[in-house]
Amino acid sequence: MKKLLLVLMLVAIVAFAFGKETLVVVSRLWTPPSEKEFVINEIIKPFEEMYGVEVRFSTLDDQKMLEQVKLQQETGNITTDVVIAYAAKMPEWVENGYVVDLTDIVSQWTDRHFSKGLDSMTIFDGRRYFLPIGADVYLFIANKKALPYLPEGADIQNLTWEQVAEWANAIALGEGEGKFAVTGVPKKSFIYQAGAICLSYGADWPNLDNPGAMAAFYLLSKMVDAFPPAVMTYDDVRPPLKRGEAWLAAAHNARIGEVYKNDPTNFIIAPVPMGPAGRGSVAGTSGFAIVKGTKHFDLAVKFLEYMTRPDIMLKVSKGTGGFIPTVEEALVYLGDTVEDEVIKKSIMVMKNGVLSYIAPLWKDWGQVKLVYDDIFKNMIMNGIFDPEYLELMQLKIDALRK
Amino acid sequence: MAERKNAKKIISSTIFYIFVAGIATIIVLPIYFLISISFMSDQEAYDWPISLAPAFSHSFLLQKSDNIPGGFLISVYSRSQEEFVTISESDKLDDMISFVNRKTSSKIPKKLLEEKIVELEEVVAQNEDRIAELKTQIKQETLTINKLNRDIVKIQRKLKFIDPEDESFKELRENLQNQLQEKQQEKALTEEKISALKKELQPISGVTFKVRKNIFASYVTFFRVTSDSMGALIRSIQVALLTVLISLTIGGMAGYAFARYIFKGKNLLKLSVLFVRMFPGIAIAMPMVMILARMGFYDRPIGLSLVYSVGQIGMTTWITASIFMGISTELEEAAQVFGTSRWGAFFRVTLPLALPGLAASAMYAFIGSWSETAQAIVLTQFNPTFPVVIYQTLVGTKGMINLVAAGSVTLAFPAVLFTMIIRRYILQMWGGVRV
Repeated sequence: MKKLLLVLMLVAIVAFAFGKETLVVVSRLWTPPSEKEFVINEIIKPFEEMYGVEVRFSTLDDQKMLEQVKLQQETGNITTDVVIAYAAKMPEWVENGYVVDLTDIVSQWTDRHFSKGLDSMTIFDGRRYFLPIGADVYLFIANKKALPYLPEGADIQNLTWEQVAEWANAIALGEGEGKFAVTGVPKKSFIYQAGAICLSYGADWPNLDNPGAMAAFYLLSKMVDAFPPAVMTYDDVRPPLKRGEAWLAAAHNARIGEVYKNDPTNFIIAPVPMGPAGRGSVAGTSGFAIVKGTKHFDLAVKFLEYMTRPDIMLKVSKGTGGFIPTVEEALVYLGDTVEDEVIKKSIMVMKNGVLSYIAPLWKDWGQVKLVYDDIFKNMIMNGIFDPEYLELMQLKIDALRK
Repeated sequence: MAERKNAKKIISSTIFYIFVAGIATIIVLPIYFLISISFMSDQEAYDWPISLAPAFSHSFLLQKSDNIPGGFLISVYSRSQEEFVTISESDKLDDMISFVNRKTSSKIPKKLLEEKIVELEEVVAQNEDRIAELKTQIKQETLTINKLNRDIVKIQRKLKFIDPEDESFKELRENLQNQLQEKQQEKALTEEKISALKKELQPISGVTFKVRKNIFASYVTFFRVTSDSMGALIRSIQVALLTVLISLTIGGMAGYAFARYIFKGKNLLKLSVLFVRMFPGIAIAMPMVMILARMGFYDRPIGLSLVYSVGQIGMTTWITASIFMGISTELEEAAQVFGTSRWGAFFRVTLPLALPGLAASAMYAFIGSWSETAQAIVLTQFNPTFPVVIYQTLVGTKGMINLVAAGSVTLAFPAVLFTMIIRRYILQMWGGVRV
């Protein structure tokens, strides 16, 4: 019996000694299977080999991730070590005290500088809780079938929104139905698509009662026939673009990048079109944070240090379809592949565009999205431009402020 | 009279069969499409209108690129467009093979591609002049189409400004409509011309070949990116079986009591067991989750099955109560007359008769716990169930309908299998016990 106990103890000691430390990373980013596979095999595996550890990488949406960590915090059973959350959700993580203040740690990393534009989202009261990774802006995509209708003298790489409207309307007249895709299903991304136009007209997005927004919605109301008949069923522009039902779209760079990478011979991509104020785009980012109470804090820091290294960051960006590296030093590694083209055009929008972010001012961002969806349904789809209606909807937006 | 009766019978039976066929179509068609899409490649899944059945191989056309020196164009045959559609243009063969594989699920052997390139060089060398001639013609016709498109748009715009009711513009409107018709006819003719030129160009400027498709590619990709799927599958089965066991034990006992005993407030109590189902699952689950996590059941199959059982017990109670009510008490009394105890009568007479119905109620509990995802996401982390793993894999796959379909079929398969096994007991669920 004693011998058996001794053997068991030895086995336990050996297992403990050789047992790998495991880091649990839960992400809302890199959810498409191909991206996830790339991150696990090409990015995380070398890290595991380097430090002799194990990283469990899983993907969840923002809300589920927050609920999971909330439960762990309430029960004191913290099993998630690192999270990758979206900018709009970051305030909730910080306000609830679920994430660690990384300011002192990051200040010691001298070989990388995070894009200043993203600081408004990742820094709270002067303290850095999130390390931005994978920023996004809006790009424009056109199927080559649309080229015969391109307005004379227009350059796809330098389009204005007026030219896009003319182009989309011409396609609708020539083909008998519209081909300009937006997400018509409520609470999707129409607010950002309209936001790109509003910002290019100098609007104070997402407000509606300013001259820029009025000009943008006037233009959109003139595009009543430019949308495909099934636009109200689109919750994502990728499927209609892929099946050729839609030919034009201005959307999130990773989504546009996915369609383009999937069929580079039949599509053309360009920076989001311009207005009088420049190239407007709503921008966002996801960010790494360490969960407060983690038992693997040192390993989590090593992981964050590794993932934000300029070379690794660009490798991730290229392998995952066109997100913008958020470390300035990463840009020197850009080449000339299809992925690089998506990134370069996104960087162009990021650097020169008129950008706006989702400010943490809203009680429920979904309700703000609904206001824009109502405008699309009631005004744009009927080809009516009504400034009074927009002013009325502004009251709804004002009521949604915290 | 007999003829009238006969006609009436024919009409009523025709309507009946149309109704049955309609119901069958409504149920079968979406399932068929789901399964069919799960076997399609990315190319087929977005080839619109989508084919009714997946292909087993793809036909490719290899041509020389005009844009990349030393590069090639590869096109795949589209069944819906009935022509070759270009998918890749590159001078790097490995990149081309990998791209084509990702898009069509057909891995072209490099050796075959190299052989086809040699063949292509010969074909192109033989027809160099004619190819150049045809390409120039296609280019010219394409320019004509572009011009026609612009003209059509201009005429349409003018027509939009003319009020169809305004008689003063009648002549102008008719004139424009005639012009539009002419341009459209001209466009159709030019398109036909281009199509004919392309048909002539294709065999003299390219080589075709066929490559088998990996029909299970979506499933392979799905499992490749789904970590711990086998472990998750086993855990899901554990959770489902535990849920069945707990809900049948507690719900079965309660059902027996409701069927056999008369007591004050029985109907109210019986109704109240269903109250729990009237609240959203997550509303009941969250407090349960907190309690279970404190008890140390977080991330364990037993914790999940306890949460699921809360919702299932009410349903099981009602189902088992109706089953026991269908079994005559005289049978139990007769057994007792012949010398067995009350327990003996239950285990030897009532339970065997109720078993088929209990199995059917187990099906409800099994399916309910099998497909549940929302609570399982919150309550598991290292030991997720199968639906959680599938959910995690499918988040963000909106642009990959074939992969979503593969995931959905994979999730549905075990539940379908379980239902098939116990399907013959379902009819007896509502008390139709035959003695």
